Amino acid sequence: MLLGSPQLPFLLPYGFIGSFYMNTTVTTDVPRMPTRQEAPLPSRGRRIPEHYWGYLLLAPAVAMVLALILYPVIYSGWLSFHFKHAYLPFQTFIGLENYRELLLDGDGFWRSVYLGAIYGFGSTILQIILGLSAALMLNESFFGKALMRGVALFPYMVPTVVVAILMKWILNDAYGILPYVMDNLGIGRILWFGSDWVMVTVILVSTWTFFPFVVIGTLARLQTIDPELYSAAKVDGAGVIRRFWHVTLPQLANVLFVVILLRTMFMFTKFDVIWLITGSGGIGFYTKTLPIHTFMKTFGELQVGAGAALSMMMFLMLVVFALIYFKLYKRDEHI
Amino acid sequence: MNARLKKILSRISFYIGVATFALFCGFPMIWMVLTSIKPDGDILRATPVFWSWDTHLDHYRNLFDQTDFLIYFVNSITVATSATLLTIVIATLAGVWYYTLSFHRPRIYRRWHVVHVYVCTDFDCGAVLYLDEKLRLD
Repeated sequence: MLLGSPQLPFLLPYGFIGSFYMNTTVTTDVPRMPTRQEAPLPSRGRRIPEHYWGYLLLAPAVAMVLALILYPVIYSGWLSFHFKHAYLPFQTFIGLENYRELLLDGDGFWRSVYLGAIYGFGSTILQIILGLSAALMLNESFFGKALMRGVALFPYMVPTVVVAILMKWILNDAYGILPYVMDNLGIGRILWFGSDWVMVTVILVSTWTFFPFVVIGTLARLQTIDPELYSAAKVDGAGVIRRFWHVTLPQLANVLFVVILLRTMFMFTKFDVIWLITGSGGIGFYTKTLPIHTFMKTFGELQVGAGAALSMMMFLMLVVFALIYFKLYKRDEHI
Repeated sequence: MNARLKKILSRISFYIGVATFALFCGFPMIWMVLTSIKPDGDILRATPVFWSWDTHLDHYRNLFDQTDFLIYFVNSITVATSATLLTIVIATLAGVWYYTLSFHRPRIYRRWHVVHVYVCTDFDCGAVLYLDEKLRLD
């Protein structure tokens, strides 16, 4: 474990944390080697101030953030105030026109926000239910538990493009295994990629792919719950459901809070799964969430300015969401 | 029903749940592997065939004979390795500084490490790291 390790500070030049450990005085009669302080110090120039090392160590990370996060966001903001075609090397300043147009575009922007909300909340709720159930199961003692924990992480390890191909194959109306099995069980055939079901399909596929994230988070917390709490609840006559409700859930509350909000944010901005399964045209019309709409505006219609305005709106929505998240979390955790 | 029988039934239903869960997680992968060794005729049948007795490795051979699979593979390895190395170097340097900060300026550290985790890391992994740290603090 890195934190708390006494070795790490001495890796730093001049051991500026090392001094933190050296304050302890050790008294002994055993003859000892001269300490570093007693040994004659070689003459050296001015010490480099400690905080300079901090700047130096942080510089690459800061440079990356500036170049790959901050600059694109600022440039996108700047572009959103311009009319800019992807292939033309100039742009015209139009103020808030791009924003006005997209806010008045009920069939485009607001519809994509609505579909994004359905996709985001729908898949998040299912992930939480499935992930929490799986974590509770994997927290029990049973034969093959280690293997099952590996299997549970399987979907998360499969690349998204593989998931998309695989699911399109399994759910294929003509020769997919799932429609065939459902048909034989008497459930009837469902057109998974029909206009009525395609949103359900992408929600289910996303749930399958990302629920292990919830398993990781909640299982780690479940393992740290004090077993005495359950013993005490049992003594009080609490059954399985009441133990879950009054012991497990309160203990999981903090982690679940973080997981739910993070997953909602991730799913609201999810592009790859939807794009790879439904694309943009045809059936993709029924799953045109905000990221897909933004992509199509920018790279399909080549309206970079309007696309930038859409991405800025998405960014602002996430900022508001993150602020609420941090506010609530701060209230809960006192960061 | 006596208590022993009830316990056995409860155990059996638990294992049925475990098996269903395993099938849910693992079946797509199993189906992918089985499809990769089936002949084309069996793959495209309206009545899916779970196991074909005419299995072969032609699809894998075709990968090497008819596509630039090795080039794609090397490309993936190059991207993954260089991105990982670059990330480790940059994150380690910043991490050392954050470690020192946790001693000297714990208040600033606690405030900024959250931002750092969210902004500077791949979001999913950063969140897992953050959860891990949060659990440790709990």
